[in-house]
Amino acid sequence: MTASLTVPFTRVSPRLIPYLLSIPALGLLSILAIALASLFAASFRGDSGALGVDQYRNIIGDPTYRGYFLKSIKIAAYACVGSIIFGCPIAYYMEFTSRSRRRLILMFIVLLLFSDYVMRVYSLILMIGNNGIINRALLWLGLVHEPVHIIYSELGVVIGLILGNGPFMILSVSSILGRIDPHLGQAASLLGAGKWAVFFRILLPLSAPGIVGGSIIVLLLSLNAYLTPELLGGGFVRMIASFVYDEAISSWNLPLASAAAAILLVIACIIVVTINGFADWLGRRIGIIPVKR
Amino acid sequence: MRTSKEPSAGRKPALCTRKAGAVVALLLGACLWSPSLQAQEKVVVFTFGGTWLDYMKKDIIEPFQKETGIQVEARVFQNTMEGLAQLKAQKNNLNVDVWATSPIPALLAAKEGLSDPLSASELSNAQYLPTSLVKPEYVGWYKFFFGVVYNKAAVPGGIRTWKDLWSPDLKGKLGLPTAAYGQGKFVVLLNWLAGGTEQNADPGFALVKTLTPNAAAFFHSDTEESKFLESGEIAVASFMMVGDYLPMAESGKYEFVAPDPYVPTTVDCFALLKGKNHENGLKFINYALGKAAQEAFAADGAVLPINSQAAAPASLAKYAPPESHYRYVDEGAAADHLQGWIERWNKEVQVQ
Repeated sequence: MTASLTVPFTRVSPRLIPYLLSIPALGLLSILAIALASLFAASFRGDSGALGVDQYRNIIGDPTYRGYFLKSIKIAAYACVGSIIFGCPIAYYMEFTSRSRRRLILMFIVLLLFSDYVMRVYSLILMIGNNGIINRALLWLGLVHEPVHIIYSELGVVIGLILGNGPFMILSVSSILGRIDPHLGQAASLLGAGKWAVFFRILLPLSAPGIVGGSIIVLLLSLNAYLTPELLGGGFVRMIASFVYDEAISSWNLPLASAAAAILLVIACIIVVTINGFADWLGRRIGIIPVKR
Repeated sequence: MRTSKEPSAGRKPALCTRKAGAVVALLLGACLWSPSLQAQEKVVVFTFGGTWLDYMKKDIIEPFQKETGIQVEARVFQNTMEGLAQLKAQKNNLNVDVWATSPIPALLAAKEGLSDPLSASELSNAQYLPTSLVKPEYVGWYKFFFGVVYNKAAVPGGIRTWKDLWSPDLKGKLGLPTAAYGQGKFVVLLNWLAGGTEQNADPGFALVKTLTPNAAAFFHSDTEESKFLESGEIAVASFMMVGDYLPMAESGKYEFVAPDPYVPTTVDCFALLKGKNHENGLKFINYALGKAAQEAFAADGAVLPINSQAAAPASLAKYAPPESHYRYVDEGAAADHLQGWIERWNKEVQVQ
């Protein structure tokens, strides 16, 4: 069996094998690079067909278009903070609870991630919609006289994004927490540190890479979100992906859509670099990353 | 240790098998490669999915295959403009022959050089269609109209005219379409109501700004509109095809109205694309325009046939307004202005 597996490489120098094996990956990367290049090329086509930066000027000069970007960044930031607030406690609980409970929570999160996204969002409409369980309960209890407007607003979209992307934060933080030596906390306690001191001075700094990683994932996914604002925004919350889709598909304005997508890509890169830079700075400051000499 | 099945132990039989395999592969390849064989055997139809495709299969595709022996391959798109984008992406090697679509995307496809011109002389059933619906860019398939559907309990006063939508009692209760929905038909309606036309949308845009305080949500598709209404998120579906109302009519909770003074009426149509099976495409379109296919599809899809020989489905009789109430959209003018309408709508109307 082993002999038959090695047959294709018998006449190839062992030094070449890694390069040969990376050919499929290079092929994929080339396709991605060509796609990105064609996106950028299309974005420099003006309305008359001439090359130029008209589309970028259109977007930057138009307050509505600028508004789509600002709104997307704002909503993505809210979703990220929300995911940290709701996700981190779950991750910490998972780390310090029994193994069976940890498995149960992990299974639930994985199920959540693998369940159909549209159904998840619709289930949220059934919960927090104008005619949803929460509003019906509030009306029945006489606490409100008309349904509380939760969805079809920015709040609804943020809740949807936290539900959709929050699991990535939990998994990211949880994976880092699993690698922290449990004796560190015990040692700190023995030396007189209280529970909060252990949390804030040991666990939180050491789990920061997980929070940073989770934040980048949640921010980027939320920034590019299309389905959630479409379903939970009720047509009132237009994020940049909806704008790109409308321009590319409904209005057939590929150059403008490409320019918007290119700007979004640049914003995403800036976010990643900034967060990483901030995380490095913070890490050096609190002593979990060695200071560069 | 080797067994008799390993290559070196049975070299001759293995060679024979390889030769036989190569011959079979060559024959198969020759068969599959033969363009004439492919052209005679199939037609590729690009169409709406969901129940629409189910009805199409039952009422048109299967009987057509049975009658002609031509196999129909159905490919599905989510919405017509997305379908247009897909076709444009494969412009130089179109592998679709017939596009079941709406007039505006068909007109845009023709402008892009994606379709072949149609003529009445190529379609024997075209003689039974209104001449205005047999154009080089498309041929009409069926007719449908839009009305208002409301929840009777939530709107006790009912709705009789389009102007009723502006009632202060309906604040935060309306589901409104996006500008892209139905390729701008709601924008056209607003223009008509405000005294404008398809050529000048200013009056319609001024009017819609007075309607948005009543909006609870904007919908992009028929399904979304129905879901909003049935889940109680909206009390009034402001622009619904009668066919979408029929499934919810049984509950008795909702009412369909074809409001005064007129109902926007349009058609869905077929475009003959520059595919590889031109003749089969024509045969398919002609079959779909025949009396039997028209009546069967109209009954299932709750639409109106456009073949004058075909009878309208009984299920629609109760809801269809008098002929004088139908007002047809100038699809050509709408196609010219759609992009501008969508951009303007997104900037001026769908804002919170």
